Amino acid sequence: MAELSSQGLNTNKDFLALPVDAISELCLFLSPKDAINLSRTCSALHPLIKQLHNVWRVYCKRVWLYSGPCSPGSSWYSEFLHWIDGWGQYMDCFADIKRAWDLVYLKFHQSDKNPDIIFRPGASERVLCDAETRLGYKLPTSYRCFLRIHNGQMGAKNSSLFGTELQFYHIKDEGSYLSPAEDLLQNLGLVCMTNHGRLQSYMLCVEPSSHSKAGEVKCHSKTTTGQLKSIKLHTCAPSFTDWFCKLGHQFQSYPVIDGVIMRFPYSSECIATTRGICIQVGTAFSDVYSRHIDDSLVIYHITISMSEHESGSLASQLITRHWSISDEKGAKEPIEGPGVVGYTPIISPGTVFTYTSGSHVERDWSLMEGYFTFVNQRTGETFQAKVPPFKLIVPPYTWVQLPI
Amino acid sequence: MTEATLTSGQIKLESSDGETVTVPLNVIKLSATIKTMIEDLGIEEDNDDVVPLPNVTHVILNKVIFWCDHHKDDIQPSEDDDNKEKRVDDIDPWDKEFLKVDQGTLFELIQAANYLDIKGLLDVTCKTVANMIRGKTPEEIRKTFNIKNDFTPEEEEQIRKENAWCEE
Repeated sequence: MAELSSQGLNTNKDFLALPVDAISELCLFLSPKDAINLSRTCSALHPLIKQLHNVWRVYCKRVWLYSGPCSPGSSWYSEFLHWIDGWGQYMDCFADIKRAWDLVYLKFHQSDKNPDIIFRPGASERVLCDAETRLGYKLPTSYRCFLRIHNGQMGAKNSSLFGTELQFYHIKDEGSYLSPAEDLLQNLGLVCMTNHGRLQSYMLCVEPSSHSKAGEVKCHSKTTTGQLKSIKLHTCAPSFTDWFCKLGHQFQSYPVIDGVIMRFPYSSECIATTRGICIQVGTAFSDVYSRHIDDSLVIYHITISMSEHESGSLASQLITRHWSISDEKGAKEPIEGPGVVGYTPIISPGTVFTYTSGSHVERDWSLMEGYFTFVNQRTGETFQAKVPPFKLIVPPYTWVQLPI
Repeated sequence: MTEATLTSGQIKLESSDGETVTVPLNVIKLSATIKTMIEDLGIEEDNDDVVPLPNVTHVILNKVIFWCDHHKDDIQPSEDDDNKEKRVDDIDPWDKEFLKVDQGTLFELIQAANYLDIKGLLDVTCKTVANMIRGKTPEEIRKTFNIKNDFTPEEEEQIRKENAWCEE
């Protein structure tokens, strides 16, 4: 148990009387900056803290998500400084952004044979500075960190990195892809994070104004005609980090349809099972089709399945659908009809049936719940399978007049 | 010796200043050091064997026992997750009250918790000291803990440059 104290006084009661092990434990409760500031107090602590190898190993893991190896002949402290050299300005957001990127990458890796050709290598600081000069605005630190890790996405491939929006009315579009820094465009103080594809447009606010706060992630409803006179500008998240981290988590739940990762976050709580028939719903606000006052479209994706381990006697056919919809104003007219999008599928062990539909939402949200009636194939018995309630949410918006 | 016998009975501990304290095993079992001594060295409970603790005064020892007695039924926390920054804002009110002591006592408690290997006490005392360091400049930290600045101005400047990334 080494003692450091050389400052006289009552030895045991000094900070410097603390054994090295205790100082090491203490540093694990501090940030790297605080640990360094502690080391700068006196000549005894300065070399000591730099040599707390376990502490710097933990800091490398926490801040840079780096578990090693530590370069031979080097110390974990030097390893940490090496990261500071390359990424110092991103210390506070790196771990969150990198973790979200890893989740996105994982999903692509599971769904695509060649995920590596989709993600461009990271941008250099020089490229980012050039982009800022060209745009006339500074980009948020977290977004810079994002581009430093991968500078956009290769286009002309299947899935958008933000999850592909459903082409509901078969509008021809090559799809939107994440812009590299060199191609970023801005309008009204909003930097568009995707390229010219018409279907998706997530933007970062870099110039605060009456409609946006700096750092917010927005999307706007577009019309299909050429001229925009005014648009609904929705706030999707208060900051890029918030938005991208949430995306990373939700990405895992997005359904993959024909090899394309579709933007329908599924909540693990939105599930109902009746007699082996499992029903789940994912929802996605559609900025493209929400162009009118008090009229937004929220698309939902329904998965009806039965585990292959269930008995064949449970096989049943979907006959009718029944929806109850309510919003802030109260309950609306119930909807019912035969089948779903024209189909009356038979659900048997191993079946996975999915379909997409949409619902107009007047203001901020509506709640949908209901049931499907099924007929058991063997017994002819009719029964109801509940659909778990799901909320259709419109991100808050303001109307923005555009200069013509 | 089975776990059952370990938690019944009593053990005698002797502080650095010669005081002997008798303490129930199910209280002092929170000290991994003492637990090991009993298990590995075959020190027996309920007899006249005394475990000497040359690094702990009787004042501090009594405080440690008091803390252990309050926490003896706590569920042991799981392994630390290296990925997450450790929380410092979750000290429970009893511990907060317990740690309303002068700095010297706080440091002596840390030393005792370290020597006796009582994880929960080490955690909560380190958290308390960490809260006194967070967000402070080196000069502010020196003032808090009465640490003398023994750098030359040149040395200080050199170190400041080395750690420029810590400047806001």
